[in-house]
Amino acid sequence: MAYNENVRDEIKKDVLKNLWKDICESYEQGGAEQIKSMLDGQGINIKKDYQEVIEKLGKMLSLGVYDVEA
Amino acid sequence: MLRLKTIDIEGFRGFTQKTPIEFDKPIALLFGGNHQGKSSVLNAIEWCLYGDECIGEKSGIRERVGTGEMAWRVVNDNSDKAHVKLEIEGEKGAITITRTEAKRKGKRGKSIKISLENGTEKEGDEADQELAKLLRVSFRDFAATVYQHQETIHDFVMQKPSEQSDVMDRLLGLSDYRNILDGIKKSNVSKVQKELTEEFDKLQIRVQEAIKIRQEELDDKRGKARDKGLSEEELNENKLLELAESSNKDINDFARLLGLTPTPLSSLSNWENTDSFIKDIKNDCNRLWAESPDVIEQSKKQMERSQMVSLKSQYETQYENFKSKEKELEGFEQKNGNRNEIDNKIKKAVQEKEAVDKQIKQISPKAKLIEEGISILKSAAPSDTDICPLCGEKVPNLLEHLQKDWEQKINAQVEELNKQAGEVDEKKTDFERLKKEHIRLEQDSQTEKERLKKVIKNISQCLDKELTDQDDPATILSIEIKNIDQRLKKIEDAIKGKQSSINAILEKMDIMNLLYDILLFKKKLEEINQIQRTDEYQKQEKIRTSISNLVKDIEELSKIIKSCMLKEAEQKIDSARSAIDYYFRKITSNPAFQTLNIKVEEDKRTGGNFYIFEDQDGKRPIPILSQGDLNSLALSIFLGLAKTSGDSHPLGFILMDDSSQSLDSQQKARLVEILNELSDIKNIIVSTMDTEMQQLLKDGLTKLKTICEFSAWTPDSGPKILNV
Repeated sequence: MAYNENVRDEIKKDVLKNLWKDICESYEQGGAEQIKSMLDGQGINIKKDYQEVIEKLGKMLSLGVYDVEA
Repeated sequence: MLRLKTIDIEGFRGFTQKTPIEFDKPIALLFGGNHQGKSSVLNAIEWCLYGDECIGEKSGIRERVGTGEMAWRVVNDNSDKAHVKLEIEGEKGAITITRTEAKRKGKRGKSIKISLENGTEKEGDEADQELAKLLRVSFRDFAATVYQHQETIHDFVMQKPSEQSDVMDRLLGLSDYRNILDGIKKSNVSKVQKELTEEFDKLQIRVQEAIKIRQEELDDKRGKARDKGLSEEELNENKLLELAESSNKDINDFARLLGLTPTPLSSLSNWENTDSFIKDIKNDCNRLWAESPDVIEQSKKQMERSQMVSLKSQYETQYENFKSKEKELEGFEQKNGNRNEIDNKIKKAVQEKEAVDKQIKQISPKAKLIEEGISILKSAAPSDTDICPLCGEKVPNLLEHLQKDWEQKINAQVEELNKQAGEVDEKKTDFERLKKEHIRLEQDSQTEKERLKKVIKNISQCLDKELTDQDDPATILSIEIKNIDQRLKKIEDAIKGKQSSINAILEKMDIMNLLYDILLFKKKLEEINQIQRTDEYQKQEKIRTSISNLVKDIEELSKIIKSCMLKEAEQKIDSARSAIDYYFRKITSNPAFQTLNIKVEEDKRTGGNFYIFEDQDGKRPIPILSQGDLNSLALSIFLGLAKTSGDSHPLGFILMDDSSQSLDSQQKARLVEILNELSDIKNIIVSTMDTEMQQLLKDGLTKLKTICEFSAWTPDSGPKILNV
């Protein structure tokens, strides 16, 4: 596809090349909506990982962890 | 260059039956009214070459976007499958492409076959690859330079100026870039980044709050420790361990004071074990206390006292109950007599009754006799009423006499006796009731007596001595209770002295608790302050960095895409500039236009392409162009691109669908002239419902033509095509 090659030729960074490859594959599969789904999926995964870590950090900060007899 | 030869259409869109159409002449004209199948012929060519690429959102054609009931149908409603066979003339011979789609979902219903010039046949993916190599033109470029869709012209004419850039992008075959940018824009990655930032900010706040709370707790404990007499310098582990050691010694001393054996307790070597150490000390204190002889005796005496108090109360209550029942019985006997007297009364009543009954018995036969006599005499004849029914003697006024006797004497006697009998019966019933009541009162009194005896027995057992009838249990118990109280007082005094020892130990435990809390809170505070060094914290930093990088990458990539889109637009416009200018001025023949220049820039608002149309004076005529002129402009761009691709373009034909929308007669005529020029380099296939255009095409195109007239379309048989 012309658009695919034209853009690829302009990309210098590998990370952008990979991103472009994913976008083109998604576009060929399901158009603009598929691109949105693919990127949203990455976002969701990142968000999920982040929430897990934040929860762990939250537990470290939780109060009343010890219990001493009066 | 590839040129169309023939097409066979069956089951595709409006076509039910197999319909062949020849394209062996340079020009093919498809004439007919609306919905007769003309556009479906052009769609069939497009679909055969590009399959699913020309359907759906990616096609860039709005009428092809839709799902379910709104989907653009390939298979005719009255057919099981769509079948299109396209014969193309290549440089080395004929190429046949056959595409089929069955009316069922999924890839299995679709097939493609290609027969190449050398006779090789390929199917499926291999056929798709061969076709792509053959065509060398993307669907996007096909739509821009080969197939002029009526929707594109219509949109260019009708859309608001602010939306014309979208149409221009489609005309220039740049829809892929737009769609991709659209998909990127719709994604919520930036939103996720913001959310993570917010989460992080919340975490920071929590960290600060946690530090604040821990600090407050620590200060509170420090304050309490100071109140207990500890200095700031003593708020450390050494002091804690020191107190632990002395507590161990104190508990041993306390055990010896009580005359008991201490439990060997392990010493405290680490402040973190303070909790369990304190527990052990307290447990041992409790044990020693519980085993202390004074405490044991105190407990025992208290239990005894409690039992005696309870027994005394029971005795007093039960005694009252018994006395009350006795009094009730006494009162009853005073009023009604004792059992014997009541029995005698009953006996007397029985005798009375018997006497009355005897009298009744005596009178009754006589009464009965008189009654019967009266009955006989009453039923006898009037002359016989004086004859005695017994002896047969005549007695004057016998009936009257008998009636008088019966009524006055016997009847009255019988009634009187019956009344007496009733009264005696009543009396007897009363006496019997009194007897029952007496029995009940006797039984109640006896029951209470038994209960009292039982309480006294319990008291005996408690006191461990026999009580006689002469003993007053309540008084005896009172004395015993008083003795116990005196003993308890002595014990309490003894215990007080030992209490202070244990209190001292417990006080030390409180101080140790405080020191433990202080050390613990210090540790917790340190942990919170060190949270940034934890693996989890580092991980969240990395995650935030990764999403931030993703957002940046997407932005950078979007810029590149926009730049490529702009560059391609510039290249295409540059290459077709003079052709577009020529065609536009020719079709419109507007004296105001000597030159049409198209420029493309970046739209500052959207980042996409923004097209500027200028005349020779640099003015922008778009807002004031008529619809016909706008159509002319759209056609000029299409034809300009088609012409510019020229010999280098692999496809040697162009398809035009209802191109004369909004053109006046002269513009139509000039368009036909241009098509005539173009037919030197490309085969032209034109579909139109415009009758004026039809005539102009017939008269104006000088090359050989195939003319197909479409009419009488029905759902069952499709269009009727007449080759003229």
